[in-house]
Formats: sequence, C-alpha cells, structure tokens
Amino acid sequence: QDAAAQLRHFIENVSAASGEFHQKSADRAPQEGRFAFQRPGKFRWETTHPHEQLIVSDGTTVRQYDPDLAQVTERPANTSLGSSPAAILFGSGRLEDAFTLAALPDDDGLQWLRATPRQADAGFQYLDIGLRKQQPVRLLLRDAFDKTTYIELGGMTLNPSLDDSQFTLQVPADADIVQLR
Amino acid sequence: CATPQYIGGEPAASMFERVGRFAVSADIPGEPQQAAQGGFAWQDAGKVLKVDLATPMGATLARVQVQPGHARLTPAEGDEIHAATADALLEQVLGSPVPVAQLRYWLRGQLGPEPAQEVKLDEQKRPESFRQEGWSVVLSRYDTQGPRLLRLSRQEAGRQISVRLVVDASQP
Repeated sequence: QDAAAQLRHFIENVSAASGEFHQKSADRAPQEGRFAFQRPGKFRWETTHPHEQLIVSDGTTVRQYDPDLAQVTERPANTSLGSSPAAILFGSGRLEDAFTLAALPDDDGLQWLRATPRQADAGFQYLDIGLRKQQPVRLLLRDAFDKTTYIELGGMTLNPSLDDSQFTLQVPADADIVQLR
Repeated sequence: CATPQYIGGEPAASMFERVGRFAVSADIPGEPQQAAQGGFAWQDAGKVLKVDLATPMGATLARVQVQPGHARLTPAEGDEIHAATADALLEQVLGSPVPVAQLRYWLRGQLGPEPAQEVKLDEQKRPESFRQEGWSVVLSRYDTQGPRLLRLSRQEAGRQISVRLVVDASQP
C-alpha cells in the first residue's frame, strides 16, 4: 500500500495511540519524550530529555508548561492545530482539506509521502511522513527557513484506553498562566 | 584542521552560540496578558547577531538579524519587519520589550557597558543579580560559557514585564 493509503488507514482506524518520540534538528541537542493522542483533537507531547516540556490539548485549549520557565501558556485549540504538524497525526477529518499529499520514493524500508499545507501561513514548508505497516514511523519537518527537524515515533500502543488526565495539565503553584494572543 | 561546522555562518573567532527556550510576558492591568513562548537559537558573531525563534516541534517562527544600527525580523510567513534596534523590533512583534542589546552581555555572564546598580556576585565572582537599563536581572545555573537561567523583570508605566530564558543543558 502506498503511503497516502496507509496514512488514511491510520487516521480512520487508530482513534488513539501512545508512544515515544526522538527529535533531532541541526541547531539543537536531540530531544526525546512521550506522546499520546485521542481523536479528535486531544494530544500530549511530553519532552523528558534533555529538558522537560509538556504540551497538552484537551480539544478546546492547548496548554504548554515549561518547568524551567515556570510558565503555562494557553491558547485555543482550533486556531493552533489547523495545519500544524500535530494536526496530521492527531487531527481528524479529511487530511486533504488542509494538505496536498504527494507520494515520495520508498526509503529505508518506509513508504513516504509529502504533506504540503494548503494554508499559506502554516509556518512550515512541508512535512514528510515515512510509514510502515500503516503506522507513521518517521517525520521530517522542513520549516520556512529550510531547517529540518527529524522526529522518530516508536513503541506505539494502538487504541489504548487513555484517561482524560493525559490531556489536561494541573498548573503547578509556582507557575504563572498566560494566554497567548 | 577541520573548521568547526557552524550553522550557516562563516566561522568567527568570537562566535557565541546558545540554544534554549524563552518566555516573555507583559501583564497590563485591565488588559489580556500578552505573551510569547518558544525555543531560541542565539548566534552572536560580534558584528552580526542572529536569533531564530522556534516552536517546540522545531519549526522556526522567525529569524532576527541585528547589525550595528539595523535590526530585521524575517517571519516564517509574511513580510520582513525592520527597526533601528532589536529591542524596538521585538517590542513591535512580541508586544513587550526584550533587552536584546543587553542580553548580548548578560548571556555571557557579563554586565552591559551602561552603569549597573545593586550588583551581587556569586562565589566565583560572576554576576548573580543586578539592575541595569531599567531591568532587574537574576543570572543562575552557570556553565563555562555563562548563565543557563536568566530571569529579567521590569516595571514600566503600569506594566509588569517578565522575560525568562533557559539555555538547554547539552549543546550539540
């Protein structure tokens, strides 16, 4: 099956998942952590190394907490997910509404596609997705400055029962809460 | 010998590079708080300073380039914004001032050239807290290059402004 068919299958059949990610980019030390999502719109992106940072969305509000910065930022979920990389994995609805999908040659045992945002102000050029057995395994995010971020997804548990607490954030006492414009 | 691989810049003797995360917030009584949070990649080559601002998932949101007398911000989408100084530029974009000119010193654990008040040094004689150019500054978690946690605050015309920078621990 080609990448687009595999991705469609993933979106339609995997309504929730949890796993690990490893993230690498040219100008930053490698990061790793855990993720989880529940369609539509609930997701968790928790960086554990080399620093802690947590992003959660309960479908209504996206909250981001950074213990070092002692700050929680909040913004409406609908405006931020839109055509962000997270939307591709965690969103629901038709991918083709927000992205054009183009097949790429197989590479490293994965079938690849390129998702290019239709919206001009998506803030990144494209997201390449490498799939195997109908699961996204590797992502390549090309931003507007030609910087590339590689994200590996692993150890995925499909359709686990995820407690809502995974997608909410108890604001620590010392952190201040800030609404983003 | 092999020239160290710099990110897109030619090697400079005094290239000072730091990568980390920032949070800027300005709370104005009676108005919704303005804020920004994200990652930064700071490259100070003396004459030219380049700062990339990014989202947690790695996408660069904007690039700030500062030369003597001129600062330019190139957003991921949309037109460039120009100003005489980076401080004025970021105030325009983030809604609250960010003392970029001073940070070129503070990030190295040095006081800026302007007079500073209430300077306290740590046991290794490095600046720990002081006031300069209207900012109260606390520097901590020093490594060999400088502080890895910078907390800046400023009270200005009824606004309480907070800028926090944390430098990622292990450099690439």
